[in-house]
Amino acid sequence: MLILSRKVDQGITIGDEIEISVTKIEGDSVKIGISAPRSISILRREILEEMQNSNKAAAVSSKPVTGTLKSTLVAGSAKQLIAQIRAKKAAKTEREGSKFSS
Amino acid sequence: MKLQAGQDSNNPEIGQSETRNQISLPQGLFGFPEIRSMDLVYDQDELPFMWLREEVKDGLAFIVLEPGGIIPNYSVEIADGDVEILGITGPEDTMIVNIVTLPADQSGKIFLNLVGPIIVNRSSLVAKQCIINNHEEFSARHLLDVGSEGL
Repeated sequence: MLILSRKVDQGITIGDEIEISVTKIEGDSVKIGISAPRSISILRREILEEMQNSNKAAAVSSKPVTGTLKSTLVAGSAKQLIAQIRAKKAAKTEREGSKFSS
Repeated sequence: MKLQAGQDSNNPEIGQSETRNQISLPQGLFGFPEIRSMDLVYDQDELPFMWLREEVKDGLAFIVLEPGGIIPNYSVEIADGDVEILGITGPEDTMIVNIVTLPADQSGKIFLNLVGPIIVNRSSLVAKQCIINNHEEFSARHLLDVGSEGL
C-alpha cells in the first residue's frame, strides 16, 4: 500500500479523473474531499463490510433441491406473510372479476 | 437512477416467464465475489419469497423477497456505474429483490437487507447487488413487521 503524508488543503490525484484532498483535521477525525466521475462508486468501508456480513448471515444451504421453500420457511411470520399476499391477490382478482360482470 | 418498488410483490416473471431463471452476476455478491451465476427460483405458493441459489449441489442459496407492496415507500437510487453494468433503462425492465435473513434462533423473525438490494435486468437477466445511494434512509437489517407493513 502506498502511504503518503498530506497536510490540510493538500491533495492527491489518482489517474486523470480522481482527486482526493484533506479538507479538515479535528482530533482523530479527518474530513476528506473526493472528486471522481459519477460512475465510480465511493463507499465508507463499514457499509461494504456490513453487506458482506449480512450476506454471510443470510446464506442458507440449497440442499432441498426440490425447489420449494416450505422446509425453510417454517417461521410463523413467513407463513403469515405468504397468506397475506395471497389474500391480497385474491381480493384483487375478485375486484377485477366483479368489474367484468357489472 | 431512482426506482420505486411496485404496488404488488407478485410479478416475478422475468425472462422466459418460467419459474426458474438463470441470472448472471458479473461482479458476484458482497462476501461472495467468485459467484457468477445463480438461479432465481420460485413457487407460486411461496411468493413473495423466492430462492436465489447456485445451480451446483450444496451450493450457496439465499431467500429473497420482492419488496413491492410489502415495504412502504421503498425506493432505491442506483449509481450510474451500476445502471451501466446492468444495462437497465427504467423501472419497466428492472426487478428489485432483497435478501432475507431468518435468524438461526428460530424466533420466526424475518430481516431484510434494504441497503444492498439485488437489481435484475428483466430482459438480459444480468444482476448486481448494489449499495443504494440513499442507503441512509433504510436499514440493512430491517425487521419485517408482518402484521402492519404496507399490506
